[in-house]
Amino acid sequence: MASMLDCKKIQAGLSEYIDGTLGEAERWATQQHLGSCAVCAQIAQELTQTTRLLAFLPRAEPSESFEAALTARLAQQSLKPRTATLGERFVAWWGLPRVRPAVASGLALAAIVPTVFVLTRPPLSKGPEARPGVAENAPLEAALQDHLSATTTEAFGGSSGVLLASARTETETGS
Amino acid sequence: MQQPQPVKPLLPPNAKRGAGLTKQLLRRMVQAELTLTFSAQEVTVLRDGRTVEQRVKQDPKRGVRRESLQPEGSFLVDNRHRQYLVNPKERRYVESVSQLTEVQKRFQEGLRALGGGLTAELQGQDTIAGRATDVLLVQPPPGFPGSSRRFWIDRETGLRLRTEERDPSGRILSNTYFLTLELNPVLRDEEFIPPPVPPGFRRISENAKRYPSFEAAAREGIVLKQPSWLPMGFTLRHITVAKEGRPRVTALWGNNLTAISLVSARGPLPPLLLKMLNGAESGFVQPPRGDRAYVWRNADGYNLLIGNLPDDQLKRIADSVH
Repeated sequence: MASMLDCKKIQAGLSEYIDGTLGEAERWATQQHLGSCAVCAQIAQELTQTTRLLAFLPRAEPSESFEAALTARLAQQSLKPRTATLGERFVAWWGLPRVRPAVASGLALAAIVPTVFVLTRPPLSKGPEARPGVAENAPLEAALQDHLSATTTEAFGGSSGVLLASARTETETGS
Repeated sequence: MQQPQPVKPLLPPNAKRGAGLTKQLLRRMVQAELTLTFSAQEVTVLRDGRTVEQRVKQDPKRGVRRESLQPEGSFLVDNRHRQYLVNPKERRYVESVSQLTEVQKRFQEGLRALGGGLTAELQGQDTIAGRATDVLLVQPPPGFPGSSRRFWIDRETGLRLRTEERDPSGRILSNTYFLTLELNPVLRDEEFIPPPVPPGFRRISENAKRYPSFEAAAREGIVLKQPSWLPMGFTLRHITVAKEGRPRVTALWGNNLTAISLVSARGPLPPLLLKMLNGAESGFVQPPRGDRAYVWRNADGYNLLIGNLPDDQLKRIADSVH
């Protein structure tokens, strides 16, 4: 039966093995190990299936609104660096399987697909923040609002000030 | 208070005496807005007939408070240092520079502009809420079409009781008038202090950087294309660089009556503009939430020229931008 140490070494090189980038000797050793270790064979099979599936998936292109929506979302979040948890540090120290080129790009794509879907799907609520196009049109809305406000600061401009500009916006959106 | 009635024409005044009188009336209007304490209910009827109603409380020392009654909820406090806008519908709390101080800076300039970039004409007398008013039209000089405003100025106090705004073609854009007016009311200090941020509201501090000139902006690496032609009477107010989201640089000019904004933004056209342009690279657009504008794409983004000017003037300004 294969030792735990063998399994750790083999799993660390599985991505390269599937990508076909392992050296001849390592490839042969991996093959031998997979023939005798059900756990590693199962992991290798799952990784292979994932890679194949991802290869057949259509390439996800972000929508035109993706960047603006993401920028707006990020702007609302604080970007403080997150400290790794004790568990994450342990996993890093233990040196669990590394994710290699093809698998890595596949997994990244798999992570992006639902993200793009979440950002572009129709909103669940009809609140102002969730209205379609709000984030993408935000720079335009801000420019128009700034202009209306500026007009009211002219000496003989509108007397009602920025609140009117704001109220005008609310009124004209039918709210 | 009744809806405003049509203006009764005055007998033709002596031209020279009329010019002096109009300036005197406008000066008094400006003075009243700077020195009077009052509370008023103000209505604005927009070009499409919709109505905005506000409660205005003004104190020359403490600032101004405006509460929106229709649509209900929003309110604004400008304490002459900072301006605070609370919008419960959008759950936003916006803090920005005081607009009152901006307006005050403009008053002297506005009065100086009369007879040059602007003309004022005494058109007649009218009665607003039982109060006698003089009606003044302020507009660009003949041959220079642009937005205009008519003011109904209270004879007793000098306050403008009604303001009518028209676009260059003479179409009414808005009508603002007082429904009620109370002079020297008792106003509480709490009404002019910065309001607390309501729980769950997004706090936005508008910290766009301002430059007084293109040269000042250029010294900090902000290079902005500028028009070589502008209609008579417009002078540069400032250049602002908005840091939130995509970089957006706006140059703003004013003629004491209205403003022109030239916005330069990076990135793709916002979907609303894309739709209004219908695939074209440039064109006039009338956003539902703003003034008429001319938009054109450039190498790394787009330009937007906003202003209530005739289309040919907007286009001429845009064509001169380089």
